[in-house]
Amino acid sequence: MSKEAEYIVRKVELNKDEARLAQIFSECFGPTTQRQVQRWFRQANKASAGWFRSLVAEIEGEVASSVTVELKELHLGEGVCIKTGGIGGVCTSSDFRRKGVVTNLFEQCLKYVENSGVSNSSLYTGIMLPAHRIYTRKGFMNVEKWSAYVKILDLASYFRSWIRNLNRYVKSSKIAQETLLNWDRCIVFELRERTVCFRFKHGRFKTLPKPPRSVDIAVATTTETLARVMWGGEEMRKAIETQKMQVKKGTESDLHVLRKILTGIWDA
Amino acid sequence: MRKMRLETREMQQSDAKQLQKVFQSFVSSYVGPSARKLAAFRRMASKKGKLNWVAFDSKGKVVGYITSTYVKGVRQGRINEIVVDPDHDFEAVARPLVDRIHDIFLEKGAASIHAITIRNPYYEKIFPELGFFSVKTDAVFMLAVHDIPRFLDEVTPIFVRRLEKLHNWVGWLKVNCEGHTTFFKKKDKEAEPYVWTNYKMDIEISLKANVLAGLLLGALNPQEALKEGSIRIETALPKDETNKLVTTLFPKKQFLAFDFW
Repeated sequence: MSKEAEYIVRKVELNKDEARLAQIFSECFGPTTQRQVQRWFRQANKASAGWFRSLVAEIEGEVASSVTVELKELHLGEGVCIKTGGIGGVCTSSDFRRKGVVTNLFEQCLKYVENSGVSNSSLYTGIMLPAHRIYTRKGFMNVEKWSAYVKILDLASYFRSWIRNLNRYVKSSKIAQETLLNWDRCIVFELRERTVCFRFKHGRFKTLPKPPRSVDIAVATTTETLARVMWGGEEMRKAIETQKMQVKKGTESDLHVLRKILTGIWDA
Repeated sequence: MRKMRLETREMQQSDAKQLQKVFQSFVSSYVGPSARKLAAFRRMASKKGKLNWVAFDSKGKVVGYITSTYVKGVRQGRINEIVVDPDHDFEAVARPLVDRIHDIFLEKGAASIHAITIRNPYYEKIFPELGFFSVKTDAVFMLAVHDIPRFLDEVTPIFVRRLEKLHNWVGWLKVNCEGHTTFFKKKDKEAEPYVWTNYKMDIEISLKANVLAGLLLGALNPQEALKEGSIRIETALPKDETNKLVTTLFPKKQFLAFDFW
């Protein structure tokens, strides 16, 4: 952990904080608008009948981190439905990470759950996210992983919308922008059905209609493997080791950046 | 298991009661009665923008349903839930529903279709045949118990109902969760919980709170937990009787427990 920051923890003030929260949410969870933040907070507050609590940490007058907790129901079977403190929106702006701020907010929320007479807390996260380690340290156990069945009908279009989302994400994420600073590369995926390629230049990703003459990273794989890596179901390193992904061109550091692009985990 | 000619149609608000009934019996066959209320089904049936269909038999009785959404911006179809009356073959009812929704997504020009589930084993049978591939995501549901006595109180009705399902067993059970205890007396058909007793126990199960939560949510296998020592059992009962008791208390088929987190 780097130098401990001085900060205050306070309840969220909707009309004051939503713009900043939209920025932090965009960086951590993908493009989020102020309106979406507002709607989410209102719905959560209504559903929790006022029990909902959202805390933010402020460093030098700027909101740096947030955690929310709302009252949810957990179906345990036999008609038994118990209350659970549903924790969500755990995020920190990339400028203020590794200072223990979000861990403190998280502990405050857990205390709130305990003091409210709710016996347990639950949350959804990603196993590959750094936050997963915090949750495990705080006594959370993995209950079940999600699986998905995917059918891609129009690969080119699916790919284009992924690139569009990626651009929206990079626009709002400082850490992604820093990672991709001066990174100008052409990437080609040779998939069984077709070859898809894109380029990152001048801070933007762009789909290319056909592979350029000069390619920086070339990977041969299947759509399934690519999707599994993107969804976090398979590690890119393992896919390469097991030959499910064959790297035809690309340096180690370029592949490291490509892994971040594919998984969307920039600070791991 | 009944097999008959089925038809499909769009879900209507007037289906709410039937949907609840189908859902209740479906869930009962896995985790016991559900707490989902009629209002939730009314909302589900009337929500705008949803693509929800029902399968019905020759008498017009709803025997299964599917809920899905289409996200226009990314041209993505999402299958949210498939529920089938357990008296009917899951695949036989789910297939025409999935086919119908699949066609609707195609008509709408979907670039991809996603069916996400936590633990529905039937998905494995249906979706790969339709050209879907499975992706184990890294998304995980996590839980922590902060107040063990309260948690134990909350889950006591589960133990009572499961003990009542255990025929031909009469005796005393003690559940010890990190020093906090609940006692159960199982009579012929009934089971009663007690705060304390000095009766001699027939069986005592000791386990940590997160193991208890994992077992109740079906995330842990009771037999493996026994082998690993995360459940300790003290009893003079024969082994098969003990195993039967443990598997009745912690059945390993609770994939619906999280559907409404």
